[in-house]
Amino acid sequence: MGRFWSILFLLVPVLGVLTFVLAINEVGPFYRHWLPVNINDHGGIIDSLFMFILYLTGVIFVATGLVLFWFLWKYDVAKNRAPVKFSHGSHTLEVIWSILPAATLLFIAIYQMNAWADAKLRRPLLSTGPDKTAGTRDDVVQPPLVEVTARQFEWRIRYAGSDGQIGTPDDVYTVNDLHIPVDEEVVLQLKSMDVLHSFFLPHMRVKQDAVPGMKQFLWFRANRTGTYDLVCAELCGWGHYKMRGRLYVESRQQFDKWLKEKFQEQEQTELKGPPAESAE
Amino acid sequence: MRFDRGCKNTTAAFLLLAVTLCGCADPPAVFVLNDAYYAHIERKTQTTFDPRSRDDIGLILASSFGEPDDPYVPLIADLDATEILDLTRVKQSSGRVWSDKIGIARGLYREHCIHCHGMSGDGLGPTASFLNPYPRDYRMGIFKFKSTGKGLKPTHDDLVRILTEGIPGTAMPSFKVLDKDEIESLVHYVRYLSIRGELERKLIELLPDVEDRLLDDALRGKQDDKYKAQWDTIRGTAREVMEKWVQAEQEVLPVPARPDGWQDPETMRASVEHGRKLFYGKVANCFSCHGDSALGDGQTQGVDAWTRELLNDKEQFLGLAKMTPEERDRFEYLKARDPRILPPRNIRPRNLRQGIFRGGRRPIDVYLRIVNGIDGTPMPSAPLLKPGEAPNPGKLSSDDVWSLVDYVRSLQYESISNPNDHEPVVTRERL
Amino acid sequence: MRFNFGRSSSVFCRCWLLSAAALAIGPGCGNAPLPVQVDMRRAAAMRADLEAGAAQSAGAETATTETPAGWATLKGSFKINGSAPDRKPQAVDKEREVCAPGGKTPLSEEIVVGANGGIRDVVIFLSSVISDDEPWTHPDAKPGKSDEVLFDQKGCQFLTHVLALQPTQLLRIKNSDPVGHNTSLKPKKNRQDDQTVASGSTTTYQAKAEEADPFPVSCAIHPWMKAWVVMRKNSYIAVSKDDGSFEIPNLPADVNLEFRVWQEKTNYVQAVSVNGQPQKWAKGKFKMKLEPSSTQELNVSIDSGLFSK
Repeated sequence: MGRFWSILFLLVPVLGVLTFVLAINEVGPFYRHWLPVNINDHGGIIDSLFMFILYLTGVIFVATGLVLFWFLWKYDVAKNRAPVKFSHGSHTLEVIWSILPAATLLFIAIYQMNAWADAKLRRPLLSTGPDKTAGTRDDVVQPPLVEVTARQFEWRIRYAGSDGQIGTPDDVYTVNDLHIPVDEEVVLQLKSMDVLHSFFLPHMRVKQDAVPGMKQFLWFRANRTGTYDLVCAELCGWGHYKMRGRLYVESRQQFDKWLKEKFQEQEQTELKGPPAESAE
Repeated sequence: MRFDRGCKNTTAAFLLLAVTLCGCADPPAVFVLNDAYYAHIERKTQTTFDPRSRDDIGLILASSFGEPDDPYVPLIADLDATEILDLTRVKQSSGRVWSDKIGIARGLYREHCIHCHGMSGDGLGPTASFLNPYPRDYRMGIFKFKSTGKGLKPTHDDLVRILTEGIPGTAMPSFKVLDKDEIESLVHYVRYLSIRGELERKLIELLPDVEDRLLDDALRGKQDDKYKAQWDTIRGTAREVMEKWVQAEQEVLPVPARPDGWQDPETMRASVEHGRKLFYGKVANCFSCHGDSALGDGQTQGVDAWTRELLNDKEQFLGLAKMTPEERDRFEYLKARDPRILPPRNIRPRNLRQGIFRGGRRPIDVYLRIVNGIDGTPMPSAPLLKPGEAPNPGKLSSDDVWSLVDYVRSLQYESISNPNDHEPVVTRERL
Repeated sequence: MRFNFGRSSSVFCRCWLLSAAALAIGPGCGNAPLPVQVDMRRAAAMRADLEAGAAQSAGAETATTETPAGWATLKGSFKINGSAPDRKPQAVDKEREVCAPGGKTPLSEEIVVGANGGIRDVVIFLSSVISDDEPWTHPDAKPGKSDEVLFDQKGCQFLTHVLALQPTQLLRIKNSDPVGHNTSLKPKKNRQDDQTVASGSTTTYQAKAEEADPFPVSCAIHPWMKAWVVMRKNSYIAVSKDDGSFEIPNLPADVNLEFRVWQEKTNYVQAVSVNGQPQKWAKGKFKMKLEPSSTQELNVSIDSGLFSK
């Protein structure tokens, strides 16, 4: 026993910090272990909140670890023969370490209110105007572009089609294949066909539990094109691990073109259909 | 508590025990004999087969198809089967899961398919008992969603499509994320399992009439005519099975073009109305199984081909709760021989108001289902006028079938199919 | 070396030991199905042999040395020994005004016994492989008939419960009911067929090869409907009538012939009593040699116990 164990305890904050530093710099085995790139205009606040809490708790974690080490080292029984001193409590100390954390939590609670409202309450309103950014009509919410129905173990996706309405014969159906136009506020409608799932777009910082019996809305605005992940974030059964899809963010023209092609394929009336899609 | 010697010894003992026993779990990678069918044929022909026959069949299949980690392709001299069974592709899907230096994934079947479809393609994998409908048993050689008629095999493209699109409304997922090569490899492997399974069944069917044994290994290498005759029979049977696959590409039903003008809403509306009349008419008879409301409740006692065997070829099953003692006794008999088999279930006609079409929702898919029927299920083929045949009130023309297709595809958009889907806010809904 | 498992903390350690052992043993040795233990070395050796070209075709079988001398007739009856089992009513769950007229549910046709104990719809056919020409096959029974055979359904019942025909004959399926039917044929060698037949309409089916066993016919819309088809190359088939009697004329005489007997409920009939003598017909087969220009009587009695499983 003895001071050897206190060194071991010191390793905890040291290795913790080291791991964090290596991960955030994507060194060696920590390649692609840090947060994926954020492509959602509304996602920056999530990242800020995350980093704030991480640093706050990180500082406290390191401080606690160091203090623990110090006490183990200083008061090791082999080196310290002084009799034990008992304290009868300190009112001041109790007040300090109640008020300080409470204040911090209150700060975090207020800080995140805006983020929460932005992601869950402030649904984009229907915008009029040629470029869709000049002003909004205050009384009409933007209709969903896509309906995502979670199912064991796939994402069944239905696009509103050219009439902009979901539930009409011009809807386009895909499975695990979500296309989104870039630089536009996009609203999704989320349902579940059987059990709890969670619609998670890591690059968008969007995550919403799909509750059977509820129809929910979520929104985001992608600012970068590319191919990203769609995964399920709520254990839904044996196939939960493979309930993955792909998110393709592309320009509006490409999106419209793709939608039209998909609709043609869907209306296919010959056995020799359109050429097979490129490998995804 | 002091870590005294007594506790130390105990801990050491349990660690040793745990380490010794923890390697016990891996089952060997072997194919499993179709014991349920073996028992079914024994009972049907009221014979008891020679116990050596199980080994004989195992040996025949092993020397023709190899084992899961090392597959072969059957050697049929005068049949070119490389189109349907390419050994390189079969090998890529077989064996354990790993990827080689270049990054080519191997053991694909075990990675993606085996937990439902089982090692032998028998649809009795570990997750099968949780699924409704059960995963496909390839061994009967029957596939439901294809472009060829009943009793014929699917084409290569049909199988690729199933893998790529999945089967909506079932647990069969879409494998679009896989490479094209990986999908090709899996298709060959599925055919491999299907041909193996079908040959196994046919060998079992030969057992009641076989003179002595299907294959006598002791005669090998002795230039014995009897041995050659045995292999002749086996090869003939294998070729019967494989020929059907080779021919499948030529058996695709030609599909006449859909009538023009379907993009026009008026034409579509007229077509849907015509389709509705046919749906409820006496020629197509769709309503008699799919129900007066198209909810799939017109005939609920049917069974599919796989379940029919469990019920001794009966077409009518009243459900597990109302199983007759005869049916239960037979099922228990089969289960005693093959403990993995799953309880029989009815197959219900499709609820057409859900907008879920298992074989695909494109008009061509629905057309093929109506005209070809669905193999292995009670869905029959429509009485289609052959090309050049005179119009006949008892038959449907291809335009009639396109109208039926339009009607069926429009059903999910009728307001009674979707009571409250149009609210703009978060709502509760009835599923 | 004595192992001291301790006393003070021993209860704690013992519990850990037992539970660890249980955890280790339990999941490891679960109940996997018993695979057939194929010796892969034997299989590999056999494979190597085959790849080297062993066991190539044996060539045609040696022809029989017998020659028929004239024709003979086989006739007789199938009677039940014991009381006839009850015919269960069919489960008619829809369209009762057509399928159960007058409220009377039709009875199952699985085993139909007449007033004299005769069993209806027992099939007896020649299972020997013989040449298609004289002196083996009589011109009346020769393969290659191309006429139509009618198969009708009415009152949600197939009017012919067991139909015998040659594969070259065209099967015409008719629906004389006011409701639609679909007739599903499930042969083994030929192509399966399953067509909706509209009320009053007909459809056809052309087979190609003979079937080793009788195959079932059913209707998906009315799943209680069942019939059987016996499809043999030549016409040496007889299906017993209501009184259990059958007759196969013009069989080749003075040669060893093998016949096979089949009934829907028992499959191939194996345990019988012929002219009073109990016999065992393995897989429903029996051999017989007929005298030229004679009529051989074959009165078969089948125990009722066989039909009650």
